[in-house]
Amino acid sequence: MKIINFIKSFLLIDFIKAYILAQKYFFKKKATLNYPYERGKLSPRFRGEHALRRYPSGEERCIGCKLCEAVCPAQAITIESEPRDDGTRRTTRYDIDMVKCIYCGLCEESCPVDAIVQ
Amino acid sequence: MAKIKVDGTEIEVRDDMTILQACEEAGREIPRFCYHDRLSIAGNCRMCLVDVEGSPKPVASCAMPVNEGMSIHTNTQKVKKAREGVMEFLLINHPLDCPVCDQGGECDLQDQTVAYGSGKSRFDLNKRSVEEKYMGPLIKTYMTRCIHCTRCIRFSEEVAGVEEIGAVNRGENMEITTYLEKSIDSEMSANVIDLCPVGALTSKPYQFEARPWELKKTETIDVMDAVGSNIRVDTYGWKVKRILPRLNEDINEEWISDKSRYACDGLLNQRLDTPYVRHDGNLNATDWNDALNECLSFMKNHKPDEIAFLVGDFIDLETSYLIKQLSESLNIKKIECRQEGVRLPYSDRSQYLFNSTINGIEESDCILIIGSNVREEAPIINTRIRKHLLNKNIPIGLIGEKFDLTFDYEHLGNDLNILKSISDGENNFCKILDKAKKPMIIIGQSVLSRDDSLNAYSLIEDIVHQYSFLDSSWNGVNTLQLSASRIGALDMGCYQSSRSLKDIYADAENGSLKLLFSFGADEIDYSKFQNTKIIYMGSHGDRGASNSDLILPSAAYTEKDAIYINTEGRLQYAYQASFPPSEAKTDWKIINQISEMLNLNWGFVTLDDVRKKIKNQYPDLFNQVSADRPYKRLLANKASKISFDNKEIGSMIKDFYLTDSISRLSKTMAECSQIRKELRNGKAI
Repeated sequence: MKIINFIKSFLLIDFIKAYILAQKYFFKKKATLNYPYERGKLSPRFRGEHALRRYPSGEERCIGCKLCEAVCPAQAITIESEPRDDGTRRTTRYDIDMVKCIYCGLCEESCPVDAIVQ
Repeated sequence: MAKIKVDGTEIEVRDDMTILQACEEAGREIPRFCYHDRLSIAGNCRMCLVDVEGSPKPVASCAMPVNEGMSIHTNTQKVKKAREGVMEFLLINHPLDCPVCDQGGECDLQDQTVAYGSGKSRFDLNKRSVEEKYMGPLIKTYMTRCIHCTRCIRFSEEVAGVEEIGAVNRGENMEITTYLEKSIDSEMSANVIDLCPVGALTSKPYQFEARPWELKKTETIDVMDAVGSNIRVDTYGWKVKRILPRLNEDINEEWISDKSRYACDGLLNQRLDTPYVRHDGNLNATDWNDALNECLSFMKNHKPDEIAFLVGDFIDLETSYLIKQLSESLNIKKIECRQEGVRLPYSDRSQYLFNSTINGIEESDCILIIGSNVREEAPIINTRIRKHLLNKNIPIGLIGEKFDLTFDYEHLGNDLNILKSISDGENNFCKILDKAKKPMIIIGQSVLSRDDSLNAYSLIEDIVHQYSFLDSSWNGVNTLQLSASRIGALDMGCYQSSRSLKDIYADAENGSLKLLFSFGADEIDYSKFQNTKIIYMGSHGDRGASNSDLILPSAAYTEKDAIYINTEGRLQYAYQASFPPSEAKTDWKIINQISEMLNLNWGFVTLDDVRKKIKNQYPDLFNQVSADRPYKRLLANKASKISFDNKEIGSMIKDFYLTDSISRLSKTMAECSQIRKELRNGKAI
């Protein structure tokens, strides 16, 4: 064994192997992404955590239609609505119980104003 | 009868039926927007098109009568295409705002678009938009959504009897509006919300509050008047969100009054949720043990004839029964439920019931109303009289203050001496009564609560026996009660014969009455009881509670299982929709607990025990009601020399919207009352 090791170290075989590996990766496609400008690909079955969006002007998107509440199979969403001073329909309470949420994404699909996204 | 074929199956229907009705009879569903069973036929939505053999074009089935040998098809390709076409036209101008529309989830247009629409639109021009209209504090309008079915117009003209909703302009420019955009002056106005097949007319107090699918629905009985309309209470958690009518052909058909529908927000205000005891002039919260002990010491410290029991307007049958039992066990004679101050010594049920029944109104051929503003005292009965009048054009006479009853009647005068002239056969109305085979007399509480009511009633009984008000198949003597509890309490005997509330007032003022136990009695004059200890049991902090020395909080009508008997004597079960707030208890349990503390050994454990006992003791109450009940004479024959106080017959109801503790504490009702006052005083809104 000692003799073999001696020959290996004498011929720099490990060095050469490592050099070849490094060269291989040098020519491969880079794994790093310029996040957030570039993003990794999501599986079509990906389900994330939801968020309630607003319009760029700062106005809430949610109109309190309660469709997400109705469609939620885990009954994780609770909404209370009432007319706002300008007469539009708005929520006064929008609760998502994240412990109950099963990340099915139905609420996102049901939303008519794309207020809830994953 | 006509023999027709619907989709190949032969059926026999009445000659006066329309194709739509015949198809329903055959079990086919015909989509419709403008057609409604209880309104006249308009035929303007065109949704009910069907294929009739021999007719080149599809036929609007709601407006087409059946013919012998007709063959109708409701599911051919032609019908399907016609419906899709109509749907597409209707949706041209209908906005796609279902997510913000309150009708969403219970909308005819939504349902029928899914069921019969084509699913696409070819319209890419601008949609029509219409300004919102003002229709009062109850109806929220969004007229862009209107599909011009005209149900609301027909309802206000035909059923409500106020010609205040109409359409201006024609064709696409047509707009539904109220006259000069004023509030609708009707007690039945909010029924147009149920009639509207789309979200053009929605409920203002319920605006954006909840969605129909998330509400718990409980079918129960209304207590805002003595009619006992069948209602559905929709609750979200503890809160009663809205009240809707329920179909009952015998009572309210499918309408309810605005008070029944909208007083429910009073259920959230000023609730008594814990017992209170007055110490040094202030009411302090306490617990049930203390309160009941205090109550017992009040009752033990006074002799039976120093105590009076008053039964209020929302007390159910079971509680009335227990109150009566309690008074008998304690030997208390002063027990009274007639808060109007009626003195008659009733001896039989028929003397205080609406004997002809509400359905019976449609059999009668002449109505004499004495001292009753039926429109405000019982809007449902008024609607039924109006319906009958429109169908048969019967003569109606009114003695008493002149009211706008939404129909034409002969005003005989505001004077009880007219009764005398009718009895003597000198009045013009006598000829009409002579001819009538099934006349009805409706006696209002404003006559019965007068000091000379005994004279008036004996004259009325004379008249009743003189004309054909009574025979073996017809009982035309009707007393119109004002509150839901009254018949039940009278049946249980919660009244003093030949004494009235006024005598209790007198006792209180001369000091012989020391303790008043008020079971939700809010319509009495508490200023007379200044030197009397008052125990109040009730659900709301209204007149009674603020004057009392001890408050026992109880459940409101949506919060308990109970039995109510309506003015016809019809026994109905009400069911619990919500639960009493905080510490409050169901009424019968409170009285049962008092009885246990007094060691009365009634042995009631559940409400069913009480009901069984009532059923054993009063089996007649549970019978079906019908207009052929016998009438038992109350007063002796022919009071010969009769004189009346020189006083006009007034009105029992000062303000339709504010008649009881719940409606007085309702914001919506206060708003309605305010607007009606301004309307009637000529200030347009």
